Amino acid sequence: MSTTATDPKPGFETTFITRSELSDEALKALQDRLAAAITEYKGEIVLTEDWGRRKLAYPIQKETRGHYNYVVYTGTGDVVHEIERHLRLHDHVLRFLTVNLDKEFDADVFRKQRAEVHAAAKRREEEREARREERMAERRGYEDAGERRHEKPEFVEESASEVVEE
Amino acid sequence: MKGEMRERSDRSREAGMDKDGDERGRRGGFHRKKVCRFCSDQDFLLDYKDVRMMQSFVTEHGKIVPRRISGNCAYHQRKLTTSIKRARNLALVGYVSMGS
Repeated sequence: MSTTATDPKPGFETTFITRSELSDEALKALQDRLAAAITEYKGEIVLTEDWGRRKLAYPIQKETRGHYNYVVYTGTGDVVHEIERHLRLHDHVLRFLTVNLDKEFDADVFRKQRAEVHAAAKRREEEREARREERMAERRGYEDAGERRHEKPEFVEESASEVVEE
Repeated sequence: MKGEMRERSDRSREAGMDKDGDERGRRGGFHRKKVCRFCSDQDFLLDYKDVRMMQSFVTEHGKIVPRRISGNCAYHQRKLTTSIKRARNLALVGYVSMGS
């Protein structure tokens, strides 16, 4: 199906969470080890993403924050076993999840799709931001108008009532 | 009135839905035929990595919103449950409560 010379290989995506205190060098070492494992099994890394340190929805091993990493790769046979074995052995990996993407995986198509997803997310985020700002501006407008309308009459009333009491 | 009704049914994309369109005074009150958001909007992708999307289908106690309420079609609800469960495993979405 695909135009590449090599046979189509299945694609996988693995997300793993490391402890947030894990240093960048140690993380790099882990990523290199995974990359080595992937090339060993005749696969290639399609893309990697670093989602950064995030708050976990619930604590895992007493950690409330975690560093998310996302790798998409192809490979034959037991790549996933090998990758997961490495992750399981590593002390600083809290959680991992591997999903089988497709039997005949096309890397270019996937990359394009992922870029589109990112673009759409960004667009939506911007829209949301714009709407929020609009709402804030509207509210500020109301408040200004309200203050102007309220302030003076209230003040007058108060002084008037005081006068009556006296 | 009639023109308004017709306009609404056109907007709901599927023919033969007019009867279930906006109708007040029926037993049970106000009804609106819900449309699956994944079917109607091609840009609205189902993905376990998209936390914000998933949170709109989870209650504040972390429960998956039933099809009856969200209006998803059976196919997408099935996909959605698996993706929510994946996200739970990765601590993107909570099991018992939303991470505020």
